[in-house]
Amino acid sequence: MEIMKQLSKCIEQRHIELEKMKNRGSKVVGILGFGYTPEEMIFAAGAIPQRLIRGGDRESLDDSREYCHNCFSTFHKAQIGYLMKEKDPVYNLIDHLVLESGDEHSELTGMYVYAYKPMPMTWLGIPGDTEYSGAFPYYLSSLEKFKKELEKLTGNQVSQQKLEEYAKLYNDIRDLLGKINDLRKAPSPPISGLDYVKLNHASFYCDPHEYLALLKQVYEELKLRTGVYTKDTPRIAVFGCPIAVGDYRLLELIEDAGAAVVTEEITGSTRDCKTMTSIEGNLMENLAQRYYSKKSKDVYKYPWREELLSVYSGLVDDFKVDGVIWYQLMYMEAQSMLGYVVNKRLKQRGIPAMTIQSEYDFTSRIEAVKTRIETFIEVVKQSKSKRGNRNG
Amino acid sequence: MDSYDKLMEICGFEPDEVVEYKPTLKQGLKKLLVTEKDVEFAITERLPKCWSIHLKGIRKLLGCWLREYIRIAIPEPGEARLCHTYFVQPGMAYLHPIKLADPTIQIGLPDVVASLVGSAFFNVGWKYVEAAEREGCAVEQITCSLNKIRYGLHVLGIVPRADVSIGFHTFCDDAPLVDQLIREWDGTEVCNPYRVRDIHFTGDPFDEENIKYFADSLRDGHRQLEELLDIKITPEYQAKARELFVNLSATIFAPMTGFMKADPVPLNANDLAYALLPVATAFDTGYDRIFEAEAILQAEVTQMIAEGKGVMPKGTPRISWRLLHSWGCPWLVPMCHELGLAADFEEGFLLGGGQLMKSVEAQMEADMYMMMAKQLAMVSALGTSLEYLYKTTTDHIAEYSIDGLIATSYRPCRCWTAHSHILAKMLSERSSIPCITPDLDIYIDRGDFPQSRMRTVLETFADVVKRSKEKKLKAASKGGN
Repeated sequence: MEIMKQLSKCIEQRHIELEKMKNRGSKVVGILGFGYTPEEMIFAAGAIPQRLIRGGDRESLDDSREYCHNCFSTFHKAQIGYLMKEKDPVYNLIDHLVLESGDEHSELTGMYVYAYKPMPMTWLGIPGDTEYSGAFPYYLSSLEKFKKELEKLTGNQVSQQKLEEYAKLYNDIRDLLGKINDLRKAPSPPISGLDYVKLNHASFYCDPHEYLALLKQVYEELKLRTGVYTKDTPRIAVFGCPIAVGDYRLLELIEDAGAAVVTEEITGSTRDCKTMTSIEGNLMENLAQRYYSKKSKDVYKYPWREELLSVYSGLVDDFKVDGVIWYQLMYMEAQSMLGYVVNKRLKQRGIPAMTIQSEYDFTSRIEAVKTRIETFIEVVKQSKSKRGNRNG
Repeated sequence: MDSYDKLMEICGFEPDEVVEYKPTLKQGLKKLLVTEKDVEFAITERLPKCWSIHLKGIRKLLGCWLREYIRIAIPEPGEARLCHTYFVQPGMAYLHPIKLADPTIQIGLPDVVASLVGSAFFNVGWKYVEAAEREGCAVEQITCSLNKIRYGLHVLGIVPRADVSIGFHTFCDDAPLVDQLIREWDGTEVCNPYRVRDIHFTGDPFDEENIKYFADSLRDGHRQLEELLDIKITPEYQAKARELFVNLSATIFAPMTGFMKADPVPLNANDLAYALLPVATAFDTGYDRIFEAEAILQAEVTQMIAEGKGVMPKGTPRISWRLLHSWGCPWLVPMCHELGLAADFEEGFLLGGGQLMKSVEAQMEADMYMMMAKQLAMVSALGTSLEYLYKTTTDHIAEYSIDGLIATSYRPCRCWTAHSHILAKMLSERSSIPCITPDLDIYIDRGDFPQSRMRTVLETFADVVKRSKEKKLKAASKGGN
């Protein structure tokens, strides 16, 4: 699709856009976390949100070694590498950093930044015991504090009107992304998993108004498109650790092996498009409710309940998945433990599941990884033909 | 006398206790995968070389820990339900009311006890860890071995399915995460009191909203435990637990930490840990033996100080371990002694003035949960502001005349390692205290961190510390002249 090229360009040229906006007096707010920072609030304050979600290259990991121990989440090591070494122009433009509490890797990344390259930072307190009655009020209070810091940073008031404007805009984006995602339920999805993830990732980089316009075109085009897969193509779900912008090798390998990636649940690294923000009443509270609602399905929510585990089985059912690949970045132990439980349960249901580990090192062991994936896809094909074509 | 008799003798059992306890001990050790060979190792290598077993008080304390170890595998016949928990903080003040509410509930800390005894005495901790690694704690992902021990004990069927396991979300994610695996494994219900770790890098660790949240979450945890265990944790039980905690602090913690200021230092780091941890740890086997052992030990130590005796000669460079020393590798302590270092101090126990003030402030809290939340927040080691961590460490260094710091870099614990590295950076930039961050396991001794490598690291460190101390002494004498 031509639009995908435009979106890729948008990501590549993000730093140029940010520089232009900074020259006009805007502040750039970097977000380190897994999707609990309402970007609507940042826009409403007249600042620009920027998710820190690049990854996939070894160089950033090598760069991080000077600052942190190797046995630290691959994704977060990459963020440390980009933040400290100033090789990524987008990361260099950040005026203020938001740290989401809740997982120790994000928290420790903040500590490393404080120790080695201090910059203005805000902590968002995100309680992981969602069943406790004090949890939501704590998160809401944390957002209220953040709002004040944004107002101080930009000198602008975060008005109800502005919040409403951006809440509506983001609702529209989520709605369309959700509709596009639903098209993947078709026996022959009109969009590959790789393209869907890239499309989703572009939402972290593009101006939301422009993005929405492009998204509308994509949706209209996809609705009319004939699927790109045959009915026999194995339908794969990718679950597990974050897939960063640029970390697309796994998706490519799966699709190169003749399978279709039809759904993913990858630790907040794609935009959640299931829940909308209510526009009625207090917008701050509505935003808090919308963002906090997904915490109960988060790997960093304790205790894990069936609500979390059913997310995975639900996706398998909804998207008629034939096999699951758990993407495990090195040293992300929470996902590793959850993957063990999820894969075990899926196997009990007769769904083939495997784990692929990565430290952004596929290039150095590409043949071995390819062989594993190809073998797995063969197993899925056999299992699929045994069970009968679920899509049929 | 067989090796089991000898073990009990070293661990301060009286002759009549040896006869009475031996069958339970043998049954318990067998269940805990401790072989006769492991017992031999303990009585010939570990215990005589790593603890001051010439002191009766130490022997008696080792006995208390041994009994606790056996208890986690073999509950008392009357103990109908099990409540297990992770680590020692917020500790006995939280757990003791449960025992008071119903003495037939076993309150156990399987991970801590199995590390302090299973790993340290018998070097079997790795057996529990490897069981956990086979069932979801992937070895290459690297997870805290303390948590792996807890899970491994379930996987191996050594500890029975508990009625509830409490995994505090305080310092790290591993504790509550491993509890989820335990729940998945055998259906043990879990309760996860939660601290939000939006902890600022500077300033007071008692951030009002954060502390209140944690205190309320601890309170809510007790409510959950009341439901799960069908008990009532009354204000009276809470008051009694608090009384015991204050009593333990006053009669054990305060005097023992005071003794450690003496030069020569009277106890080694292994002795100190086993003497002080009962203040924080819920002992299912009771506190009477602990008080008795501590009283004997304090009398012995008082005598040693009066006679100018210690574990190393007077004037030996004094080395402290940030937070805790590696209790799973107790051989480190005699190794340091051989190299001429009195590495017998632990920053986690031996508080500086500022921290002591904070501790007193916390103990003044009328609400027990606020007291516990504050106690936890002021533990400089983890979960507090970086600048406060630096301040408390330098206070400790000044208070105990420390010449060098070993800030262990414990790979499987990201927060431990991160804090150690950042603290070492702060110390190197702002002070003249030598500091190293060696890779070590804190809780087991599997050989991942070989003794020969540690010896090389410590040899170099000993040279640096000795030279630094000489330089300081010369500068002081010049200043004096």
